[in-house]
Amino acid sequence: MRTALLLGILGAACGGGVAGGGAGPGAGPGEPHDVASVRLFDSTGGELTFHIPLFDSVPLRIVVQMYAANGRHLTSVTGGQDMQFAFTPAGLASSTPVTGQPLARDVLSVAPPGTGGTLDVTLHFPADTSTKTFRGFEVLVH
Amino acid sequence: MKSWYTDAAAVAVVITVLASASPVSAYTQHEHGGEQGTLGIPSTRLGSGTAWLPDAAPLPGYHASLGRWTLMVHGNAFLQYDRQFGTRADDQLGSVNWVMAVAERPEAGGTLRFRAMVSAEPWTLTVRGYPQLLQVAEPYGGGIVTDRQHPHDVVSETAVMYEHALGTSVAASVYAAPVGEPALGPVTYLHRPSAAYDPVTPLGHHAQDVTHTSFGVVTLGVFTRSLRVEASSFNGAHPDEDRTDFDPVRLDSYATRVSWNPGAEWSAAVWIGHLAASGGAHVHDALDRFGASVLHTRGSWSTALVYGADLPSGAGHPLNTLLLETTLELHEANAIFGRAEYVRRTAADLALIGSVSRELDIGALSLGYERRIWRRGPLAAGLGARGTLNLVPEELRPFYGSRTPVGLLLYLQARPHSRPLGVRMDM
Repeated sequence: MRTALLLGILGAACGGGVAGGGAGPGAGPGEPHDVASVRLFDSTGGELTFHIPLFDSVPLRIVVQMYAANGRHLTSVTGGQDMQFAFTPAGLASSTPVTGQPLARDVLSVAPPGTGGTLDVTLHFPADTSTKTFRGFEVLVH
Repeated sequence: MKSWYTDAAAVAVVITVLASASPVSAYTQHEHGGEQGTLGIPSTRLGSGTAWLPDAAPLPGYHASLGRWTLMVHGNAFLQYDRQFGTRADDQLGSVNWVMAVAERPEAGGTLRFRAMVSAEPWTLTVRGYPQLLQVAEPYGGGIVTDRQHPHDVVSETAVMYEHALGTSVAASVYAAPVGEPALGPVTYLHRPSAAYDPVTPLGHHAQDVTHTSFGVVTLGVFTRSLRVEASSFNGAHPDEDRTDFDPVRLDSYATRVSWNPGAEWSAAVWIGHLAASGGAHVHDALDRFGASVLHTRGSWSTALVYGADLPSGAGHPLNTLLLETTLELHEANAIFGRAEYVRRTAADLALIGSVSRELDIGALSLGYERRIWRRGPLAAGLGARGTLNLVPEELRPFYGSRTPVGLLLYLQARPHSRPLGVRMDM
């Protein structure tokens, strides 16, 4: 009986506290120097950071999201940014800008299925004329 | 968003399982191999899955006889306040907890054993788990959760095992589990006496004993009193992010392990396995995993040394991890414990692809102390504190605020209390 009572108290106390814990860093605007990492998503919000699958002749929209060092999502930076994609090997895939979405590119495979490589994302910030390159996102043509 | 009924469900899971032991007329402390099984091997040597502990390892729990059945229940519950400091600071009040029930009886000249393990952590830690700097990032809800350790599944083991002697010195076993642990890795940290007072998952968990919850396991073994050779086919996918369901069972990966108990105080093991490419909470390409462990217990002092490594297909070198952990119980009322770890993380592990080098060397030193504050009947409770000093390379300084980000836990632990060998008490 005492065992059950003690465990009940423990569980009840725990459940009440969890709801308020770990709220996360949230999202908002920032400065160019705040950008510490980027993550890649498809048009539906699916994460592509760990693996970018390209299917022969099927364009894939890649949306880049910027993050501060503490993990906060930077929805925009002062002065905006320009973005370039570079594939290794160069003949792996091609990308084209998306009108009205400066942090998105439509990517189309060029190499045959089975070819792997990487994508480097370069951001240029006119506000302070700085440039940051994030290298090594893995790409595979299926 | 949590609600009252999920909290109630969490409590109910724990209490219901523990209550299952209450109808028996007596309980005893189950330590130091009180039950002799096949070939005279103590039943308590089976630390987790089919992995061996030293026979001298304490395994506090309650057992009773019910007809031909021998029943045993043991578990661990922490109520902890977890605070991680630095740029990625976070905190949480939560509970790490689990309960295991074992039932065994003689059958057809051998030993038939059923085992189940449950946890309420999906509710008491939330499905995002608890804050832990530098832990492996996981997909969740279409995004990635970083610097947190996931909760365990509500059901992390349901297994049946049968052992039968093939002579006076050799026996064979079969272990089958819709969800269970293959012959890959050491005794999982949850069941190591060297981590009995430590609520925190090792940073190297994902290259050492992460397969302790695999949805689909079949293991065949041959063993003597001191040597065990076994092979498993199992599901190489980590459980999906819904920790309350049963994942599809499949057998797409394989492993083999050799365990050796040269004396009552020692247990050593080496293992190697191949994991098929998978989804789940840890998406990975096909990889090989291998490692070795040495566990030692002398009196109330238990220590574990574990090496584990992943070798992803096509990679030129393994991603190594090394763990040394120890726990010393002093006069039953005090426990001092510590853990030292080295892990080789990838940028993907930290969700920092493109921002840092592809691989990074991480270290962590943890030290803890627990003071027992209460003991009654089968249960003891203690107050504890645990601090961790993480060691990261310079390029991670911007992401963690320093090269030595720290974490702190304050906790209340409830567990079966430790008593001397073979004590039996009437209720």
